[in-house]
Amino acid sequence: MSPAVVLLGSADSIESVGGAVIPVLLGFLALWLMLPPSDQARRAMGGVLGIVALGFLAGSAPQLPNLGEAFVFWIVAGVTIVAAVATVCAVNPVYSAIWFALSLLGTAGLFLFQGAQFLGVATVVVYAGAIIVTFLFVLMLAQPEGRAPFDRLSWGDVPKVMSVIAAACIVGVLTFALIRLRVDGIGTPAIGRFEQGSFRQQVALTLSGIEDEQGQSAILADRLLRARLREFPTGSVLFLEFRDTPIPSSEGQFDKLDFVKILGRDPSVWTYLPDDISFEVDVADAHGNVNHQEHMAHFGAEMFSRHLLSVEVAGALLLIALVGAVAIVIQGKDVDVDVEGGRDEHE
Amino acid sequence: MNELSLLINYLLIGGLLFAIGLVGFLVRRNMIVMFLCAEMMLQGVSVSLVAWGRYHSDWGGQMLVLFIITVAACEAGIAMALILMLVRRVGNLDIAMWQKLREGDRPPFVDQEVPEDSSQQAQWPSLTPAGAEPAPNEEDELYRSRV
Repeated sequence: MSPAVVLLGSADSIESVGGAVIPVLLGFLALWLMLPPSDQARRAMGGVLGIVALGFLAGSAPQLPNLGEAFVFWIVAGVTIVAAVATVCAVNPVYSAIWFALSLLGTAGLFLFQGAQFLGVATVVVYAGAIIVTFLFVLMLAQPEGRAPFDRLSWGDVPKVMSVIAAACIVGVLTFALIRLRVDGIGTPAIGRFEQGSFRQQVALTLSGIEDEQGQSAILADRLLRARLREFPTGSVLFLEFRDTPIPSSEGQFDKLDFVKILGRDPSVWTYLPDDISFEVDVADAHGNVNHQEHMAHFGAEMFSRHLLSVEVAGALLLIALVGAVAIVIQGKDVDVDVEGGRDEHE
Repeated sequence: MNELSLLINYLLIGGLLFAIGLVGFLVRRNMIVMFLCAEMMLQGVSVSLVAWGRYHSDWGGQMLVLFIITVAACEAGIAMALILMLVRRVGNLDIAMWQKLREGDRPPFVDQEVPEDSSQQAQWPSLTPAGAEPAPNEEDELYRSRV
């Protein structure tokens, strides 16, 4: 897999970049205000500033395709970020653990949104359900009174400022790079640069291999941005997305697929492939469709075929960690021999 | 286009989670809260990985997140055992108690002042006591948690 290419665009995109980086900086200023040690007024100010910054970030990040998706995504992401900030800023460590559990629920929601259903459920069950509970048990044994002076105080002012500046730099640079990402250069099917087996690669190869009268298939292959196969009750539909407006043409007939649609830059404009271009594409690669019934079954198949050895090693690692944790704790205990039980047996 | 915007949004959220965990790890002194922040950094990375996996239609992203969850669980188990051992020696969860482990040429960290805990002075409503007062239980007095 090749990473996304970051193209530094021209200077006319500075306004949109500024629109995204400034909320990030404001958000980290709010985080600095809320971190311990701080008093009630500072925390309230930081909270309000943080919410405002998050709202601006949601407005300036790239828009998701439809309003419903954007709404759900930003609600879940907002819960995650607010809970993460509260984890770090809560003085009572039990509150921190509970806020972190809420942040994990938000992360599980984000996983579900991306079609990683198994990971979403695994996060809730393993992380929120087992790891956080272990933390709370240890807190019960180690610090049952909750607040402590060292919790209210933390390291002081200088580490607070330096760490917030470092984190703001990280996220600021990340935002800067991401917002300037151009759509044009991403996913150019330069044949041979990507791994074989990628669905888009396959479609691009197929398109470029077709010889048609007007030489349009090669142009289409060059402009192919994204290929998705979606299954509907009436059949499969191959969605192809191109960089620029594709060559307008009339409808065509195809084998193996019911019909093929092409999306231009503007998704409301649909055209069809030219008459003399027809091709077959291997439709077995259906895991791109997250609504497919067997989406997680494909994940399970992948897990137990390509990654079988890693899964077995992970299971062995869990066993070793369990034994190790018990060994660490037992080493610190005095083992009492139950002498009275032995005496009772003899009588 | 919509795939790329989804990817960018997810990378922003993952990066924010990572950075907030980073700040928490560096600022807090409680061992448990520091470990929670380390776990939050792992969650930020997981969110980014799932986004990349979806963008490239590759299962590798989700597989790596699965292994991250596994390793985080092992790490949490062992870390809790170690923290319990450390608390047994020192008496509290403060990581500043272990300052002797710092680098040789750095001065020791000394608390400047403890901020006033204003919530302790809140007046809670109370009922008129009725009946005889029970005898004080010495063992309970040690571990009663404050509300």
